[in-house]
Amino acid sequence: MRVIRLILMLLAASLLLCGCENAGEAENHAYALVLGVDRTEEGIELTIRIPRIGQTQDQSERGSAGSEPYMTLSASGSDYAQAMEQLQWTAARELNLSQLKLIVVSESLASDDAFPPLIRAIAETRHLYTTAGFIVCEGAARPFVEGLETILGTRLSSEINAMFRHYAAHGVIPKSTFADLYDSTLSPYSDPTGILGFISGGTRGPEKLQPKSVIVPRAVSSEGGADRRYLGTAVFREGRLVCRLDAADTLLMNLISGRVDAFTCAVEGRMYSLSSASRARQSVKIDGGRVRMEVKLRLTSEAHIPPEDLDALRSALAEDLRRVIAQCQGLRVEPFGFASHAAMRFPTLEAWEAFDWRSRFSTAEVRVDISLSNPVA
Amino acid sequence: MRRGQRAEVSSLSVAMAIVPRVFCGLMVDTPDVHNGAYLSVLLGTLLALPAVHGLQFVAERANPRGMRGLRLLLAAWLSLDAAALIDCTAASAGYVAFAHVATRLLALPLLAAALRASVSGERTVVYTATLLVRASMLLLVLLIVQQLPYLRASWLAPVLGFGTRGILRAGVWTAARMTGIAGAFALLFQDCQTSDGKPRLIQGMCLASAVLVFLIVLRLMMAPSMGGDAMRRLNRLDALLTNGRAPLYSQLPMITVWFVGTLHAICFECCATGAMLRQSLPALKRWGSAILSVGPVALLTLTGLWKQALDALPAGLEYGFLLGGICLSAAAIHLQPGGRTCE
Amino acid sequence: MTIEGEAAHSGTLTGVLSEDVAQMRRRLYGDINADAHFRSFRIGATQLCICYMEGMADDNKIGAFILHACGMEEDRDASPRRWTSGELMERVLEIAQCEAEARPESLVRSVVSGMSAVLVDGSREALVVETRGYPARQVNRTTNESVVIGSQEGFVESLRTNVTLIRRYLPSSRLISEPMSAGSEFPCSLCLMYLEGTTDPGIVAALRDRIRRIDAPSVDGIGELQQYIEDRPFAILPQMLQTERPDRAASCLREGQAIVLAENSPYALVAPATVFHQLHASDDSFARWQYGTFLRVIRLCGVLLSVFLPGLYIALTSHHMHLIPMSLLTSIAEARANVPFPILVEILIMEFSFSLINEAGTRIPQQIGSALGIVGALILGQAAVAASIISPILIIIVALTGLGNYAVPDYGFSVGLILYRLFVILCGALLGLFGICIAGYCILLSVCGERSLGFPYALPLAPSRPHNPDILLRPPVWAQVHRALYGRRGASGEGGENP
Repeated sequence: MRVIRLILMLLAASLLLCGCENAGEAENHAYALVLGVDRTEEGIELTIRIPRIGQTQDQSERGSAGSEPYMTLSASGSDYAQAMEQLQWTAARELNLSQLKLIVVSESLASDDAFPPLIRAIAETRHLYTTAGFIVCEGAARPFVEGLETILGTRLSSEINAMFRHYAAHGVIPKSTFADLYDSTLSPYSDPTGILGFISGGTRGPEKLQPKSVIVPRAVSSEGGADRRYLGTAVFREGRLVCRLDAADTLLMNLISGRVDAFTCAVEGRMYSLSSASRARQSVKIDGGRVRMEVKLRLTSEAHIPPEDLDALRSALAEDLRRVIAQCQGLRVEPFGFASHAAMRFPTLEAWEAFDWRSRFSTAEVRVDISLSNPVA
Repeated sequence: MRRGQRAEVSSLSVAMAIVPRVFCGLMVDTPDVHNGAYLSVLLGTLLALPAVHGLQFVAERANPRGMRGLRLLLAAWLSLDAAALIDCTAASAGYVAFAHVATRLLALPLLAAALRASVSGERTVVYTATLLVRASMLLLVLLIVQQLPYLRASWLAPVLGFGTRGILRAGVWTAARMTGIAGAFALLFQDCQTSDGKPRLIQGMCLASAVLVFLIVLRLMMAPSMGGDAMRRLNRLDALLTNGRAPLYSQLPMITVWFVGTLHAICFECCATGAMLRQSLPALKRWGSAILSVGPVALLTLTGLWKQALDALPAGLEYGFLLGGICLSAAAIHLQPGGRTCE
Repeated sequence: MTIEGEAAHSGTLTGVLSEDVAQMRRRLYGDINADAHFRSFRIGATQLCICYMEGMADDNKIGAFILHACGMEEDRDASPRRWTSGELMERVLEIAQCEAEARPESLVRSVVSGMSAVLVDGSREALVVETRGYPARQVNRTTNESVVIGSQEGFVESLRTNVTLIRRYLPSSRLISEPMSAGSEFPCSLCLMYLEGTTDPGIVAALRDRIRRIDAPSVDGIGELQQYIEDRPFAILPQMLQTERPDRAASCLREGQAIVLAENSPYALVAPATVFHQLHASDDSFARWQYGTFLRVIRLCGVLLSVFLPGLYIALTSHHMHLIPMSLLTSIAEARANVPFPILVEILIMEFSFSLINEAGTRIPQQIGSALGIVGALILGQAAVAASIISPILIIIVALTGLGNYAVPDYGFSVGLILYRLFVILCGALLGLFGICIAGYCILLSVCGERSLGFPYALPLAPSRPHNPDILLRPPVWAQVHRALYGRRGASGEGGENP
């Protein structure tokens, strides 16, 4: 009798369970892999790239009818919310934003005052997880998104991850997700960054690189591969794009942040491969309102460097590092991570915010200490 | 529980009931403490230890009337707390998958599970905790290994977070929870005849404190301090389960540990309420006590009354409420110097 | 009333051979029962009559040990004399097991079980002689608990043989076997075995008491016996262990457990048992500790897969798609693109089909058993996938689930896991991971809440007791120092019969 009562009670409870309404079939969703956000005359335009189920295995096996493995959908609205709702209708099935790999925003929109509230609106979109990478593209986001294809015949979702891992390992892009952008907009630490993207052969392309100590790839032609390139960093302040760093400066920024382990340097045309013996150490000293920042790098060379090149390399690298920091100081943006170290000296968030780190950073002393050694014989 | 039986309660069981409750409260429902949450835990433990020690003292010596009052007081407090925890867990279920479903409906399966646990008895719930600890440790290790590359120690600064006031308030809140749950263990599993088999409350609370500090520090290293709208429950759940950097599949062990932990805390509180009602009213059978314990919790949860009740009660008052009850029971001992015999 | 009338009325033998034989004939339905035989003979001046059941008793034993022995004695004894049953037993009958019995109902029970009753004129006690010789299966390999290395012997249907097998594995004077029976109308012979001095007397008393309290006309074997004496008949998982291996039964006896053997059952019932006993196999102990540990881990993973994998699959694909990497999600979506059924229906169809094939495989005659493999492969494999009734990925899920189920040594436990699995599937389909966590917790609650002879089912982990570190992993044998978990005083949380 007791057990019967228990069973009845459990059954009654399970009848009240409501989750069956929420269940969906995996094949009935439209999985957006890339989301592009543009500003238009009407307001906001959203563009998404969706895989066609059953045709994503290999682009080379496209059917004779020319069916693409991925399709592009766009929708506009006066604001983000309206555009998103319109997009749900355009997709003609349940739109699933949980598998987003990239969020692409046009440069003009990222520089606009309308962008900070847009960041929050995107982050608060239900089941849009902020693990997607964040790209600021030159020109409009829509053509950038439309042309995204796989290179090696694998799926776009895995290819995007592999590509960014490759670029980030070389230090030419920041390791930047949309979560970093959103978190940094709301949190009182360092300024967020985004990846700069462009279409090869486009109107602007990457800026002409100034001679620097570090060696980075330049733009290549689009023959034989995808024409979407990712080189450089977009730096944000209070949610707006204020600065672009080219690939070389990005590499230097990543060196300061301790996010790159190996890179190539050149001095008077001779190239050397260097690697970090240990992670870059940042320290911040605050002395009566004056801030002193120090970066210590311990590098080793893979091949023997003659002493004269060793000194030249060391000083050229230090000079470039100071230049990048100075550039950011001039713009009052701090993407290096010094803020986290400085914040440790304050007991509360209130005290930290009262310190006005951005102003202090812009007038801080910078010291770069590079230790460069040849490999042990 | 029969007189003289050996209690099968260890410090692990005590910790397993305290940790999810306090973690849920501090990380999701207490927005004004963030970086200082682990300091709140330490403060709460310091405040709760003497209270629990006093409660153990009372439990060994109080007369039947004093004990009955103490049990009913704790039962009422645990019911309210269980309602709050059910609401938080149901909200997290809504965040994880059921966006368009009302939180109150998502509370129903939790209430069903609590009823099942209440019918099973407090000892079964404690045994379950002993097994769950092992599974949870495995999942935690997996979780830490997955999240390790994405943790940033720099987000622990500033140490005091939003200020000392929030830390103090959260500390008292923590002390109230610890006292309530550990007090329930003391009253339920106290062997008055022998000292062997008593629940190891002090060790359990210290263990809970250590685990909480560890988990809170991990959580703080997952996402930076944020103010404003980020304090909303949904955003805090979001930051808890998705740090935005680790792959999404790493949510799986996190969600599992979260739900299992909070479910256990809910079941323990409901079960303990029923057990204390049975001890206070021996004529009550197991089913009756289960319905009497889960029924009010269901009422509070489904009507949302718990929010009004808890909003009206500042954390200090809850703690004072419990302390006052313990002191009154201690006074009852003093009035009847013969002490008590086991019921 | 005459002495004879009194005897007949009170249920004892009269001592008058003709009346006693008539009584036995009446009780054995000798007039219509062709198997009941009554062989009269004489020794000296004493008339005797042997009652036996043809087929159950061995004619050769009757001839050699009774008739021939009596004949030899008569040849030696020149002057015919009267013999009593006691004298016959002590001096004449050449057989090891022989005892006197005065009650006709006991004589009838002995005769129908294959013994012979020797009625002696002038004695109010008959002799019950061990002459059983019915056909029985030889000790052979186990069918359901096979091992790679270790003993290959299994129990058989003969109770005597089974008891002997246990004694071989546990040659100790402390090994006690208590004969019992269950069933009022068709009694089934049982044997309760335990190690005196090791097994808690409370366990033995509890088992004895529960068996005695069975109020049923018959008990057909160990399976039914278990259902009569287990703690919670409505629990999903079995609370006692059934094993067909004598080495396993002996190992359980050393642990302080008691076992019950039954006539016509090639299984031993071990009690108390925990959930961990259900997951252990003999192979774990015979292999070296590294392999034994590995096997245990594999088996545990199998159990978890068996219970949670389908539910997890349905939860993730229905409610938590973001937790699946996109490349896998695309594969799943592509596999399911043409399947007309929702995923829950698909899983239930597969579960049903799998269980049906299992059941058919058990019942199918051996001659056409090979066809089942073809049918199963056709139905579950190629045809169903080609017709897009089910997705290929679900076949992998169900196959892994089935393998996990078969990794469990105990059949009753594996069936219980199937029921739990269905519960987890429903909870996963309705509530996703939330539902699975709740289902998992409820399952754990039910496991921890079960009792076996009053002992907690999750002993010695919950409640925690000093124990052999041989629960989840299998450490080296020299590290297993805590023996007789159930033999130590205070092992139980509640103690014996009254939780």
